[in-house]
Amino acid sequence: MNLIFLNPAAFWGLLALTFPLIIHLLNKSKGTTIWVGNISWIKKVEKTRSRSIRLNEYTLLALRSLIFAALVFILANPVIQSNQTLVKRNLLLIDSEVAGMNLINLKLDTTDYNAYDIRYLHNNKIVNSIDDSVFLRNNLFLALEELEGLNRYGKVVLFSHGYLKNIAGAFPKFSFELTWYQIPSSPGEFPIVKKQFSKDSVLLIGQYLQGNNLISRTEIIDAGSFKTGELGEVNLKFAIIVTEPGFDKEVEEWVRVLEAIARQPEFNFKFKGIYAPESFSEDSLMNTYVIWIGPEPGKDLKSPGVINYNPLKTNNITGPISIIKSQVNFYETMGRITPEAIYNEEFLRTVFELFFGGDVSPEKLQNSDYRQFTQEIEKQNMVAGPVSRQTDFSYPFWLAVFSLIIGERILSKRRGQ
Amino acid sequence: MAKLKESNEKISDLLRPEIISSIEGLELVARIVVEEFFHGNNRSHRLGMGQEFSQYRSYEPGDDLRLLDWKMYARSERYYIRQSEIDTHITIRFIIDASKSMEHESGGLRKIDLARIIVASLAYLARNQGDSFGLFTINNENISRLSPTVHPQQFTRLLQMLIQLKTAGAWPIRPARLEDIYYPGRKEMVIFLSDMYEKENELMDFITSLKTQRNEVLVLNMVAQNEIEFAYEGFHTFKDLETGEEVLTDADKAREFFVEKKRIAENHFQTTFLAKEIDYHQFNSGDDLPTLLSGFLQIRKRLV
Repeated sequence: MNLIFLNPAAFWGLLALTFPLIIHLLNKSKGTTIWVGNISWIKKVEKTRSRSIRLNEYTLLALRSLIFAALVFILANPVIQSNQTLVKRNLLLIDSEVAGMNLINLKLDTTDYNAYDIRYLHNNKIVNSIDDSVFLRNNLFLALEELEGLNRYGKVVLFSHGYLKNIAGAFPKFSFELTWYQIPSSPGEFPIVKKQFSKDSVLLIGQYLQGNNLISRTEIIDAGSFKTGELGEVNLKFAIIVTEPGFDKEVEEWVRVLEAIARQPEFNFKFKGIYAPESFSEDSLMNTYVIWIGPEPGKDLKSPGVINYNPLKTNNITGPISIIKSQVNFYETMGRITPEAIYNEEFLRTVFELFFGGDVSPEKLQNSDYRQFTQEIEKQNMVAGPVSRQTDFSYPFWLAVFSLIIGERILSKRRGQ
Repeated sequence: MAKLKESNEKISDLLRPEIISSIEGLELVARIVVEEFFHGNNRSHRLGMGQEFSQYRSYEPGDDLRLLDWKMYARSERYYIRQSEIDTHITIRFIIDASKSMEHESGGLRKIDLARIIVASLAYLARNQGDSFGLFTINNENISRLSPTVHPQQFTRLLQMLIQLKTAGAWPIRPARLEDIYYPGRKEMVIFLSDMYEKENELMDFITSLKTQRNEVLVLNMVAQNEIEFAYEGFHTFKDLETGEEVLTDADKAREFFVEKKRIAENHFQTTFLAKEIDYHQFNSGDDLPTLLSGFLQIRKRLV
């Protein structure tokens, strides 16, 4: 149990204590001036009364100062923090669309999250069940901020489709630890992607398939929004960039950004090469750049060796970074890039090995059964530790303000003001 | 009584700075005050002006033939002398203490305003009676004089002087220059308006020196409404209008001192003036002017 102030900046308001002091000095031993014809008849009273007047003045000064001080304390938002009184719960937040479709396919049994509250995210609105009425909200962050406002959860696991555009730029910090599984909305889409968002790690993934369409570049993570200063909070493990042809400059920009990240030793991020799977045939991936910046597939993540892995042996980039341009086949008849064309089994397997470590069998991929990975990770996060609870403690100060104001009124009336 | 009260209210409505600071306004107030006074209840106080009939008496040899009432002779075939009250004209000298302390204000009305109204009203009455009157305003910086005459314009001159009257300084301690404003021995009435605030008995000395065997002196002590019970509350800095001296005090505590001092001073005035046969009255804005007028007329009667 200890008193803390959520808004300590308000203590600058204590400078306002100079106001009553100034008033005191200005009014010092004055009172309202009254011109009278004859003063000699009250002269004798002066000496006998001056002491009580001075006492009155100082009491007024003290009262006024205390009023300001109490107001400052209220503004400083005092709370009583009591430890070990509330254990924050964990939350499993499931996108209703995911729950309706993929969750069943994925056999993602919610009983595995016994220790979790389960809420559904329906059109970005948190509801108790999927049947709840639809409330459309544009931004997933609003749902997350709602959770933040509850101040109840230590860990939140989110299953949803990709809302990558929503995490472009600076990702807001929440008091809970967010684990976000992005689950494809169609079988051929990019597989489950887990993102771990905590204070010091953000995973950037250029994932931009919406339905069967490659979404436009500007909706991908905006490289320009990452200033070097902001990168102090970023601990990149892994990055994949897929773009359409004709965006070489953007690719270079990305490389420049990632390079900048890698140059800073405090980030546990190494560029290990750029990967384009060998199995990407020129037939299937025509006219598409596949640029992968990350550890070498199949290699131990913990050994950051210099990688010169370049299956297609095109466009080697000097230094630790290389960019592979892969001219892949294009289904000219359809006029667009299909997910199947890019994400073949080989590619996905490699990705998930990188993500979760260890070997991922084709069967697992086929079932889309990534639960084991996620569960293993979650087990470490299951036990929520003691969380402090904060109780508003401003009421006594309000009471003080009111009683002080009453006292001040009485005294200053007595004083003749 | 209701009527009297009503008229008082009517008058007090007029006692506002914007009215009494113009000649027309001041004259209006004076006229209303005097006319209200002669209205109804107070009619019996009215004195004749020389044309009033008094009595008949039989003619005796040696009487002035011009006084014979021929109409009476026609009726009764006897000679009667028509006797009237002798016309009596007196001189009234108004003296206003124009020291700074007369600026003392209560309810938006300063003591000097009150003095203006009283002088204007009494002068109006005096003009109607055919008396000659004059005005002297005195402080230690300036003495203004309007010597008593019965000139038709005298009342306007007096109003003019009242309007231009400015307070300054204090009452002169050594009134060497005051000698010429009053010639003792005349049969006249001196009305002295002051707040009676003095330092070294200078006011008392002056007033008592005014009194002679033949004249009547009326002293009107202007008392502000808020001075009666010292109607201030809480802590205030009281500043003297004349000296600028400051006293910070709690009005609630100062009240008893003030009231006691005031009572002592009042006693002093009353006993002193009584011994000298000087009429002395307190007057504050709450008092009604008609009563003052009747007092004025009673004193005048003594002179006549």
